[in-house]
Amino acid sequence: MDKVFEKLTDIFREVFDNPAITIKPETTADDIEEWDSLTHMNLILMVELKFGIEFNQREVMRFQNVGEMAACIQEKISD
Amino acid sequence: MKKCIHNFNIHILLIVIITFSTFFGLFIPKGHVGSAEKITNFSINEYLKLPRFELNNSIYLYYGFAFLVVVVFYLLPKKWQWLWLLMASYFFLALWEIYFLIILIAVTVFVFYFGLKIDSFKKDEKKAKKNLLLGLLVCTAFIFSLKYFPRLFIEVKQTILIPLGLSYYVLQGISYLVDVYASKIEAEKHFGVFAVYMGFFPRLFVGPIERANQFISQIRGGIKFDNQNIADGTVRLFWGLLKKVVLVNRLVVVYRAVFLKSARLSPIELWIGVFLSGFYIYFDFSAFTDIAIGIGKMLGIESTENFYHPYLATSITDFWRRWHISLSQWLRDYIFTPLNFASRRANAIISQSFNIFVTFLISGIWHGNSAIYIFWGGVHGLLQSLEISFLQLKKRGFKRYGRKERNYHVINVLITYIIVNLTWVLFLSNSLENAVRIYKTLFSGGLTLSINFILLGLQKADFIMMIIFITFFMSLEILEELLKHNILIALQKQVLVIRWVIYLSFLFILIIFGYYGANFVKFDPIYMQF
Repeated sequence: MDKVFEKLTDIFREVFDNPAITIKPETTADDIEEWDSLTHMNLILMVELKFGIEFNQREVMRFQNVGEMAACIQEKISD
Repeated sequence: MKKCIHNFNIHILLIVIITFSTFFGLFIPKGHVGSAEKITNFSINEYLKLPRFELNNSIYLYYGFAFLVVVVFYLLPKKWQWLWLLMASYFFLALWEIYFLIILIAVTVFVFYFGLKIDSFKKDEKKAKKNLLLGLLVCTAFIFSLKYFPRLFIEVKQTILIPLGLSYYVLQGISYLVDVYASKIEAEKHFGVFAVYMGFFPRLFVGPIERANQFISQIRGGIKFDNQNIADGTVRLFWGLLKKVVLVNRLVVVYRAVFLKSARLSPIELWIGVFLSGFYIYFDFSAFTDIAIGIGKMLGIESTENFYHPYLATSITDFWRRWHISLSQWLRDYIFTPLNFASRRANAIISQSFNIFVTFLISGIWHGNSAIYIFWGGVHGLLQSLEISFLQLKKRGFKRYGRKERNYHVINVLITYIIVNLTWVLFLSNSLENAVRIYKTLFSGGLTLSINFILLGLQKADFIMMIIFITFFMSLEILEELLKHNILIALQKQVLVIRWVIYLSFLFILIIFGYYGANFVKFDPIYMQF
């Protein structure tokens, strides 16, 4: 899980073009200025590319915070 | 064999529903637009000789009703509070039109049923999706047949009896079904509590559009009495009343002069009239929202805010983050984001621009049942598409040249403000011809500087009064924006003496400066038509 978080942090920093970003399980879009409905998809896409996974509509709608996204990623890569 | 019959039944049921609602939609009561004030002059309640809460009745009667609901609410044991709210809401709706209540109950039952069905198929993706689609289809069928379909068959001069709150609770139903499907929330097992979510009476007029878990989690366990809630809620309620009586009642006169009476106005007068109509729609909508939120607060229920200084927005995109926020969030979560997700592999600028355009076309459709609303929605969608594209290019440009973004804040606010008010012309005109006529006059370049206030419908004294109050309310907003504090919350934090001085002065202003013309008791917010 830590590995997932490490990789996610890098992805966040790249997508939002901000090397100072840190993420926690409770982090939501409200906590990161650059994260809005427009950049949200860039993030999802980058996560899919970097982890080599694919989300479906249902899963993406479910994430309430970064922790839930990480859990979903973890599940998919251990399949 | 059993499965086949089960599926067969669902499909038959659906065909029956759609056919029924379509034909019913064709035959629903229609009235003639006799005067500009009435939405319809036909009433089923009157026809059936039932008591009726007339549109003309005093807004104070509504307040009285709300206070009664609040008092009894806290006298009841917690486990019956939901029942009281449900009874009060249904009683209220029945007083308007019994037909409105029937439709609300029907939609509530369907959404509740499909919510449970979707939940029961948590492991079976296919069945869950099928039930979601069926549920969404039913919601769309209701809103389409009762709001849009009849319009295709009746003349422009006629109006139709659209169930009060239909547009709002159908959106709530859709959000609920999608959230259950995405497992964001569990399907509600308690029909009564769910029914309160759908038909909570303060939200029937202008929303806000609430999410199921936000509302239900608050009322499920019952609500404890808290002095502060009553105080805050009452203040909010009277804030809305103040706005309505001293400002909206005057602004509506100007709005009618400009848009309903096609007065012969000079370009300058028309510009003033357009901006004042922009204030009309804002203060009218926000006043009724204040009232809805205030009543909720008195009952200890938090609602989503619907406005955040919309006329201080720096772009059209920013405007929609500040205007009708609950709708914007609904559109974002249930239209825009799913579209974005589906198109995420395509070029970001092109697909997002297209998606925002489509989203706002849908917003336009939701707002009204005639072409001009769709056009208005499309214009806002197009403007935001341009902003998105421009924003992306600007970001890249700045990076390349290492420039810092200069602060063009005030200019952006002014430009946005002017554009938004110009688009309100589309929204408020009842036809494209009228809108074009107004635009032509606005830009015709006539240089007469004399302003005939009478043409705008108000006496000079009232006109000045109106300008003073606009300045008052907008100054408070600018202050709130700069200090990032909420005025009403700050008010509550003051010492008792100061608070009461302010309350009494508001009461004084209400009584002395309230506009009590012919429209004083009109209970007719413009957003109630949607």
